[in-house]
Amino acid sequence: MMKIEETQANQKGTKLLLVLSVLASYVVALFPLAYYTNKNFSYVSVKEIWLSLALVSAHWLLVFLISLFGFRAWSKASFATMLIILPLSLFHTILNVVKRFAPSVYYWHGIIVLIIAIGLLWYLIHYLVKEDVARKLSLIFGAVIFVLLFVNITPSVVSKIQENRQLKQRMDLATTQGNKPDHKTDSTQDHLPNIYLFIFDEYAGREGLERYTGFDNQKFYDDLSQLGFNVSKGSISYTISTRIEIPNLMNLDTVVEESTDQAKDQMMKSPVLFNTLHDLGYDINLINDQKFISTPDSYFKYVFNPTSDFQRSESLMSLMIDRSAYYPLLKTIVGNRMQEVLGMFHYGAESSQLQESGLFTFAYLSFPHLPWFVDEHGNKVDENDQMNWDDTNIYLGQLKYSSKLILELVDVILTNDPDSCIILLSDHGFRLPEMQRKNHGIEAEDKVLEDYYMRNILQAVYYFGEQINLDGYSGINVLRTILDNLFSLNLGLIEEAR
Amino acid sequence: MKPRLKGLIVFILVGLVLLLFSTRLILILTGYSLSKVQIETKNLSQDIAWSIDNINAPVGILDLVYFNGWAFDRTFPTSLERNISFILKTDGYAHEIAAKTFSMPNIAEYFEAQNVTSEGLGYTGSFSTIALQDGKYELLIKYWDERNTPAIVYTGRVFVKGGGDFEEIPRE
Repeated sequence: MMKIEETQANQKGTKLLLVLSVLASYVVALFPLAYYTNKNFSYVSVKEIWLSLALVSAHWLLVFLISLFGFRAWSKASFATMLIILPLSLFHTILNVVKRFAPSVYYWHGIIVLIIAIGLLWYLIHYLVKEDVARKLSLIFGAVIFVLLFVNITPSVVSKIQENRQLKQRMDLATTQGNKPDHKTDSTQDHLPNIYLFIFDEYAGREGLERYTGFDNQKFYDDLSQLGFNVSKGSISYTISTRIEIPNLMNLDTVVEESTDQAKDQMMKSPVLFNTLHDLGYDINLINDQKFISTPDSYFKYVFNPTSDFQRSESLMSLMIDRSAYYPLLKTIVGNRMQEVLGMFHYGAESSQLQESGLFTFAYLSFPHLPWFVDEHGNKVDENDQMNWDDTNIYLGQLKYSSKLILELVDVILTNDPDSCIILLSDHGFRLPEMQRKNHGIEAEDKVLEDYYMRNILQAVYYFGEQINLDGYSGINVLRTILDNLFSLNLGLIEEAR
Repeated sequence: MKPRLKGLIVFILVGLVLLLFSTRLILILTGYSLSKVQIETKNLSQDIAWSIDNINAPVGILDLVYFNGWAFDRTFPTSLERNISFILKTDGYAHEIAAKTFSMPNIAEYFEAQNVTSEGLGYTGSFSTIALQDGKYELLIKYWDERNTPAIVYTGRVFVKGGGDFEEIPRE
């Protein structure tokens, strides 16, 4: 009787260890995801984490099932999975390191070496490692990775929970106006002129551009003036963070202070600008590059999303793929970024034919923001320069090309819809000193001064072909002034950015 | 020796051989392998009107360079069968890279006064810089039409392959 109970207990213990060893391989598979999530914790949304987790889990399952098929033993399959999945997940990172010393090493060399290593590993595990040894090794390896994960992630999670609490308290204090709107198509729309707001991420203002690249963008401003725009060369934003500036623009006030996705998403849920325009009878048309605007779809009558979750150039998922053995696949998918950009400009121009009146077009374009894909003529730039902040000519080339696209865009809108208001803004300027600090640890001599130039933005407004004094206004005050002028809302001005 | 150990050794040896010849194999399989040819460049033509609109920096895992532009023979503007090759000339030999030609009505319209036909006026092609040995390369254009008398044009553009990079250098 005793012996039977002991045997049962042993069997239970073995099963538990078996399950734990399989889980250990899953923990190892999660490690790169946890590492990259932790490194970019403030910038990733919960949805992104879930999508990436699903991808990593599917990858792990596939490798595990193949290993199980090969070994027909759970612990051996688990041990093999952990040894295979890490080099697969970090393949590109490792290859880049090797290429530094051996430039003639290419993708296929890495893949062949990996296949040889997997073959050798399979042989060793299959013939030389016993099932219980494989189980123990899996558990030890898994435990080490688990501890590393725990040590790495805990501080970030704790600080995030605290941030969220503080954010929630502030949100409770700040009374957000209005609820989810219904789409109105009442007769008042006939009297509502179309309004277009285009935000070009990282488009430097004239002063900042000249300071950091030596280029005088006067010709672009002259061309805009000739088209009837009121241009301001000395406007500055409140911050160099897109996550702060855009939700603030959407709320017509400086309500967000933290550069996190959570704070941004919270303040984009029910933005004052959209609510106000809805109440006035406007329909909203959204151009949503990188799916940055997280406002619920119910707000929009028309939406143009040029990028899927899989294609987002700065998403956690694309980062994971880019670091893995599957990166050529990603290059093929995101290789057509310029088609997306041109698609947005095309849609923006065509928006002038969506409705004769009562339409507010809100466009966020992550352009000329990095990656730098094109030169001033629209030709592809060297792949190695796509993230290059050091050669300012590369950024300048993409900015010049965006200027050309902007002029073509407004030209079409003005032809189709001359009795309209077109607002061109950027969220911040060229952040060269900030990137010098981040990438090379080079601190600016006069931080306050550089902060000013980095916040020098594009600000130009076509106001029904009329003159309007918006010189030196921030984006928020531009919007408040235009709404006051058009609808007598008495919003007034807020304190300008210093 | 056990058969399974023999199998493992064979597997590793095959892998190492593949590793050694993989670049050449990949280039042959993808059609980007380049052969060395001798090109006579003493008599360069002045009759060819040409333009290189774009030569991009290497992209993708094959480090592909795409190029495009247009060309025609001023002495035979009404040609209906134009052919273009890019020639990368280095010390002692050259690589010839065939381009596809296509119709470019807008360019033909620009040269309307010279009665230029649009057929085969434009060209586009690509090559892998992996197929090039390290060194300095002069870029030439080879043009021929239905008369089958090739003309070589000096473009004045020079590229350097080295250390995994492929870059254009200023004219000396």
